[in-house]
Amino acid sequence: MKLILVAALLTSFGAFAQDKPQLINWFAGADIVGTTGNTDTNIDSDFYVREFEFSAFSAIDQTWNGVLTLAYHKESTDGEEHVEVHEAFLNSSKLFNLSNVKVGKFFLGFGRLNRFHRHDWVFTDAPYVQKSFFGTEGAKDTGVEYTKNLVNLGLSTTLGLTKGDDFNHAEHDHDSTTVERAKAPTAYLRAAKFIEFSTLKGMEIGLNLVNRVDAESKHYQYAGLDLTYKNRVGKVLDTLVQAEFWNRTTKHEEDDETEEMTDYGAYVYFEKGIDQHHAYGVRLDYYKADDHEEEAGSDHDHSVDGIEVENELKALSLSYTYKNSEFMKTRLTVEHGQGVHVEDDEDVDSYTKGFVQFVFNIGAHPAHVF
Amino acid sequence: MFSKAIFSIAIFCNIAHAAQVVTTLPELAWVVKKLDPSLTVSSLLEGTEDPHFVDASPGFIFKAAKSEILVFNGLELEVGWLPKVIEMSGNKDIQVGESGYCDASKTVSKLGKLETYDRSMGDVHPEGNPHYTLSPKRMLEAAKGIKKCLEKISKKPLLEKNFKGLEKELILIDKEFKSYQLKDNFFVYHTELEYLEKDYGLVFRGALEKVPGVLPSAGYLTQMAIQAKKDQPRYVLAGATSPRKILDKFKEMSGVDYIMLALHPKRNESYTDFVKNLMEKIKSGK
Repeated sequence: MKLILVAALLTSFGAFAQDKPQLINWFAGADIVGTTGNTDTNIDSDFYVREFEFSAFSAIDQTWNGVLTLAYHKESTDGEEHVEVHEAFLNSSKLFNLSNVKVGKFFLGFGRLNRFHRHDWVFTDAPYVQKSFFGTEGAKDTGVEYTKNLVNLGLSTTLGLTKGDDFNHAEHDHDSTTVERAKAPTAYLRAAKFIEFSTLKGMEIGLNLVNRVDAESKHYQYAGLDLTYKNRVGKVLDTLVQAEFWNRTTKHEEDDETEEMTDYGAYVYFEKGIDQHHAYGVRLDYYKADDHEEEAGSDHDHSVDGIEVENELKALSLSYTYKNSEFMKTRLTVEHGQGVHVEDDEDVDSYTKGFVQFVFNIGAHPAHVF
Repeated sequence: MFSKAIFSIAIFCNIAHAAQVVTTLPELAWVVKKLDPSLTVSSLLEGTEDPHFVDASPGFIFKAAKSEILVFNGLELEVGWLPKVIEMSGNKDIQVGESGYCDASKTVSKLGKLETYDRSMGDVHPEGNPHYTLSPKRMLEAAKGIKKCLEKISKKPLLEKNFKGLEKELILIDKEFKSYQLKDNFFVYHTELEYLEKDYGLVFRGALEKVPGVLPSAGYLTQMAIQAKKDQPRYVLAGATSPRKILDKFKEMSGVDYIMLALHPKRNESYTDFVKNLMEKIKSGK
């Protein structure tokens, strides 16, 4: 029913081709995914609409802009379907000089993947560290975010404070009508430096700190580094290197005992563009779970999509992307991982999965920074 | 002592610095500098890029953040990146509708407007072909709009005086372009040369791109090669970032050579020199 409502909304408004100043901009995008896995794992073969997003954005008045996004999700073949408010925020570049202010619900402005909608990612499935720390799609919440350009230092700094209830997408039961309140707000900081080699070649490095306390009083501290390098040649994105390194410390006090764990992980993605239509990519993933978790019988859960890292995960993905146009991509990916524990089967310690993905959008898609 | 202190504070606060104008394209920076040589002007692009295909890089955001006026080409040439640069600069003066938001295309008579369109037509610009800066005649029209934008930070009499000088220069180069009599038949790779066809009499018999912005299929290239044998175009004229592989393939199929043309001057290159080089290259094929 909810999906029908979204579809009805979409069909009742005209779409525009570009993100340009006008009364209102409409955007709709879909992410259709086919999955398959080796028979030892419990990865089902399926073909389904993973996400459908419908967004409206425009100036509200002389000071504020508004962004409203509804999204339909189905995170895995046996996952539930749900429609939710993805984003609903005000933002303004006119309140304070060299600053941008955001108020409402939004994807939190740290890291690399977290600042982009999934249909704009350069790969189909999130790296394990992203899924485990921030959910399959990214961390979003309701609060305030302030970005300031420190022009003389060439730094962009983002500070955020959100209420902390809705952080990791995968943590929530979408059928539930109540949300457990976090014990403290989530706070984050990102400082990014851009190094310009030429107008078409540059590298951005971001340092990130996130502090969060959940509804069970677990205290999480994240520290991360994100790096993006791009080199365009003519109309082609010739080289892309994207990487993130994250460390998470979790503290949990219960019955006067403090449990402390440290997990960390990273991914490095390299893409080579052949021409304006074809690109090949390689991604290396690494994830290291805290050594004491098994011994201590911890309830610290990092099972993602039915795969749990026993101690150390190493994965390799190979992908091919066909860009039919700026507005449509088809991607084939094969991923092989080792060092996992598959639910219901003690003997399996590796997995291989494959994806086919179709991403398209209609309407006015907003531009992204770098 | 007191005046020294004020002077030091002024330097510290950058009050003593000349006004900043940032343009997207080098040719727009050239116009601004002609209108008021005392202004500090810089262009975001070097002139060698395809302005459709650049990223909204933080480098651009920082440059835009420092500007009092942002002059851009418009007609959606920079639509893929400039709106984000403007938004994230946090610069109140250059936000949409503010006095530093200067769309140079406003005063230009446009070609190629589309009444109805959708994305099946490829990379089209419904409000008009954005490549007007190739024509000195249209650059003069754009300069009128830029002059109006600069009134915010420059003295009007100075702008009027310098505009007259610029007008003379552009009329002269326009006449020179017309005198070249480039009325031969050509093929083009993409449709960016429409203003040259209209203003300087070049005749374009066909485009190698069937759908703008999409690489042509082998079948379509064969069809165009057959047409080329009938039409006998002198060359295929192509923008500097067009795919060489396709042009080489077409040359092999049809025997028609191609010329890669710079569509924008390089930073600090005079616009009039750029136009002269363009004319010379089209005429000589070298």
